Amino acid sequence: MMMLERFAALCAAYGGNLERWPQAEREAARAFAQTTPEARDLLTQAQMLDRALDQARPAPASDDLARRIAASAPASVSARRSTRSAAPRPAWAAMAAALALTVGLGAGWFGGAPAETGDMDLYADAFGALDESAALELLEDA
Amino acid sequence: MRPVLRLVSGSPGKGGEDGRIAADRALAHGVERGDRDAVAALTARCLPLVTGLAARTLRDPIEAEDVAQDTFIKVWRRIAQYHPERARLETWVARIALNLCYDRLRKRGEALMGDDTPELAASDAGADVSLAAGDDARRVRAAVAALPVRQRAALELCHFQELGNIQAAAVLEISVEALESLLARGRRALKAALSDEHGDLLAGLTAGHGGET
Repeated sequence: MMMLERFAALCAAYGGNLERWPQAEREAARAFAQTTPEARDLLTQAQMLDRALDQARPAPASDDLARRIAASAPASVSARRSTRSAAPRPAWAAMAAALALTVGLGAGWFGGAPAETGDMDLYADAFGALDESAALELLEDA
Repeated sequence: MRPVLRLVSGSPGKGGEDGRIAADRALAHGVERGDRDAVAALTARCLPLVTGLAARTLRDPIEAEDVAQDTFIKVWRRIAQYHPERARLETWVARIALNLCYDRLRKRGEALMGDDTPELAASDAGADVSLAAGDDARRVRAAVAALPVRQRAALELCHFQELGNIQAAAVLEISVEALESLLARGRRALKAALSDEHGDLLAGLTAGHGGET
């Protein structure tokens, strides 16, 4: 059930147009406003600010900008990626990777102290924070 | 109409979230294949959001266009990494745009986290804004431009772009509660600025819209 305090908070955040309010609370708020004069007053006040804000609408993007952006798209992202992956690699790359793997495993096996608590959580947190775009950024920057 | 565009242009409708995911996946795959119609559809769908957000946060229309172009270049490069189950396509694109804006603000030396201190006096906000008496639109734009950057971004997403609260919070990478706090503080500051300075603009607007509720 909608209370005046919550109604006022929603009004302060989302303004006087109920269509901009959270969908889950919209119908309850609409019913509340129909029966509560204070709620209607809050909506009216918020609508004043909404109308003022409407005067600061951003200018629409130009057609020229849209054309330039669409033209900047490659013919095929898949094709570009497969081209990149088909590029010849130096012969030493596989050896270097194998050496790094061996050294890393050895250091981990002989030098690593067992974690007492929470290691898996730490790993999960670290990699959970890397969304796909951030991960790609790191790869691109490497 | 080609199948991909039928999915793109149609609303999720009966499919609900599943339909939305299918539509976003189809559009993303179309872009990845280099389908020009899909590229045009994604551009048309996301460009107003990107330019609005960039112009509002950077307060510079030329720089906002630069950010828009940079955003889509990143989108073309990363489209294969987009997961429609995790976010709407617009949300994903807008996050890329907002991060680029934040990068530019950092390079300018502007603080991002101070959410309560106005960044500019309303009368100084934006080189293109002059406060001629009676020019209500310019006064409002100046008052919005004087807000801290995250309040501007929140208002742009929720009021001007009309994103839902969950989607706007996802773009800003904050909770819905934090979004509501940003919006409320922004609207409160605007109300004060427009009521106190240069006469009561809000009252004037109300008088001009007497029959509207």
